[in-house]
Amino acid sequence: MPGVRLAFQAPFFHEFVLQLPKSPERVVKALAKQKILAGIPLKAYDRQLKDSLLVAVTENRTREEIDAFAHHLASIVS
Amino acid sequence: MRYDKLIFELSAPGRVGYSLPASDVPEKKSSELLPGKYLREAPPELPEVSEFDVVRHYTRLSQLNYGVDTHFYPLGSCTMKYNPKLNEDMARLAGFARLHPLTPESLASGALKLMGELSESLAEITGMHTVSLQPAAGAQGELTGVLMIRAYHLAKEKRPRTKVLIPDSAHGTNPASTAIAGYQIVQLKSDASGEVDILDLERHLDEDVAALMITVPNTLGLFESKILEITEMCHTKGALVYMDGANLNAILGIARPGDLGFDVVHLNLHKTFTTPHGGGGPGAGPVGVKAALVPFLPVPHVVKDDGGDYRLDWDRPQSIGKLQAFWGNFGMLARASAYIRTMGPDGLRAVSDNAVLNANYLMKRLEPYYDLPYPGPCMHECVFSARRQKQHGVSAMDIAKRLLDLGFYAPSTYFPLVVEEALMIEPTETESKETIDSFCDAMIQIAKEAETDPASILNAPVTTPVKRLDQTLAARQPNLRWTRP
Repeated sequence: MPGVRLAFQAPFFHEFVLQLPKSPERVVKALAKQKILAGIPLKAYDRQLKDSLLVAVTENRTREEIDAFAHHLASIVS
Repeated sequence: MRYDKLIFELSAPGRVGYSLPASDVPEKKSSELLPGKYLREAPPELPEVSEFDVVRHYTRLSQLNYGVDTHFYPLGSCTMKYNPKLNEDMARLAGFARLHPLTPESLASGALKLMGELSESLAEITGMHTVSLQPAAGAQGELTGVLMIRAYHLAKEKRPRTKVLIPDSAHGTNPASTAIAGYQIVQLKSDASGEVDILDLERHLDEDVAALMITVPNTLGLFESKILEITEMCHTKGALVYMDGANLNAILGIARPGDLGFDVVHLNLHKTFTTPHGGGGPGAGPVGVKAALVPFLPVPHVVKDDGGDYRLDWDRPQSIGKLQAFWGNFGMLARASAYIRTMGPDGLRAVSDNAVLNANYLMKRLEPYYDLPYPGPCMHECVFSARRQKQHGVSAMDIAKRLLDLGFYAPSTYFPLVVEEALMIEPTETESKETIDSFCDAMIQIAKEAETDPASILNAPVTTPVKRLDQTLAARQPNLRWTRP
């Protein structure tokens, strides 16, 4: 996805951190309109991570839902 | 035969109690996703059981327990009242139960409103300016309150003061919380009527005293009749007054801590406000304060903005800080809120009227058979002494054990410390006269047995899953390991 990348290159377990080209707070707000809670903006925990979003899809989400998340995220950050 | 299996002993290789849906994303082996050093070489030794095994196992274990849903549970100072099942339904509403604590505030306005309104209700019930819902238990509420008192003195006098006065009838958590907050504890004597000895208070009250910490009604079940004088004496010396609200069930709608002159009060939602209490929690110990202490409340604090919406306020520079993860034990807040709304103001007043009436009825029925060191009338609980029975070799502990055989949970024993062989009985408002009478009949039977057949008491309990345990050994050398045979 253009402008979006993994913040850390090490292997991850059940969740991962995305760096976004737009404010994560605004992205979360925009995705909420699609009824998706996108993740946790990390700025409150570490200012150096102000462009970062912690995402955990869990085992409860279907491929369709994950694809919808990716689709909406792409259109918001493009 | 008594059921005593561990879930591991039910395990059979290959048995499963779950099924996962087929994965709809491309699968990869975990060894392709994670470095080998993070992967187990052998699977964990988890029990392999069916769903039916699990249901039957835990149902049978639950039947080994005494609980408020199965038995009368007159554990003094613990307010083991009925926990309405409506509360459970409300706390399980998906918008509450499945809400992530880090959901953006704009998408959690219902939960924030519940918290804000509960805080306002508790402030009204206690007569305090503001209530924080953060503390997760009564003792954490105490620590929160004392830390705020410390911050108050530091801000006002540039020194925290050094001492906190605590009556000798206090809950043990009071000196513990106070010591953790860095204060020296000075113990106050009780007078002959079981209340704070005013002369002893006067002797110790000086300008190094940060606060007096006192339980109202006290742990003898007695209302401190000189409480207005006491709070005024403290304020004259610049000391604050903390009320341990563990016994609030006695005074709902009758007296408000704020009106009695208290500066800080903690409440136990798991006592007075019917959140579940039996399994060790989780508790909730909100703390109410007068206006002068508001700047020191923990963060985040739920506030109402100009538009009437509730939000979490983190911008509180004089706050004592954060006490625990997230925003309090929210599930307990939802249950307490449901209870308060169900009861309404008149209902809450009736709670205390009936709690006090039940305790006095019980006290009067047992008074001929057990010594009452501090005569009533009592508030929501009464404290007997088994010293008469002790002359026959039967202690308060023996009486407690015998009650188990007769189908009742035991009262609190050996507390408060100011009563020899103490039996502290709190029937609560939710018990019927028939149940209280049955309990009194059992207590009277035991008093008679103590005189005629003490051996029958000393062998008790004989009907419970386990008999008398070496509690000290169990606490100091707990055996919590199971090894495969």
